[in-house]
Amino acid sequence: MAAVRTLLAGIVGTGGSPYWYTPNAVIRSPSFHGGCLHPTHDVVYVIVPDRTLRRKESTRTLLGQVEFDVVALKRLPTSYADQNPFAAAAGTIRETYQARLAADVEGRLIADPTLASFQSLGVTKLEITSDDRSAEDTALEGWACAFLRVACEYRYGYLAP
Amino acid sequence: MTAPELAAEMKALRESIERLRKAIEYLTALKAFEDLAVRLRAEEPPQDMAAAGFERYRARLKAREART
Repeated sequence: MAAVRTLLAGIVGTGGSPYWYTPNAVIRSPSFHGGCLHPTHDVVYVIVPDRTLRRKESTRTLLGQVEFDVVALKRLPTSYADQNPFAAAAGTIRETYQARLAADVEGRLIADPTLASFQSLGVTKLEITSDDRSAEDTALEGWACAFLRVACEYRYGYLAP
Repeated sequence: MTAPELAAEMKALRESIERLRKAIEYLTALKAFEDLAVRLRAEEPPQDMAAAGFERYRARLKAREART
């Protein structure tokens, strides 16, 4: 997850090609809560760990899968008014920000098919298995928020975990 | 005033007093209830919307995984 943090922190927003938003902070937190909504930051990524599964693959190697969530947050502009969707200008609805945040994370973690940044860690597969932007879960006053589920598979020898 | 009239007057008075007593009981209970509601509202911590949303998301994710 430290490697993921480093990668996400390296995002530089350039209007969508390839990335939209430069994060002010990428943090690792045991859970996501109100304290993660920084009072002055504009874009924040929170990496929240979940379970790790391991199984024996051969006599010498183990196959592990670590799952975690990336909570992508973008402060909404003060002029933002999602109470009236008819009045919202194109490109400014909450879902647009959520989609851009998700695209930034996905682009940064998945677009590199060689997994070059993770090869030294024995990572063989990294995928975003779900992307939740539902209002009932992600509606936070003043923020656009998306939950991205990331699963990472890796192999390692018994003697070098 | 005759004796039957006096008795009727006394009965009406007793009934009025009984109604007043019940009204006072009701108002006292209502006041206690309102005080309790005010106290509970003051003690209730503000809800963390971010944590609540994330918990719902994780619970739904696990439920979906359990089904598959």
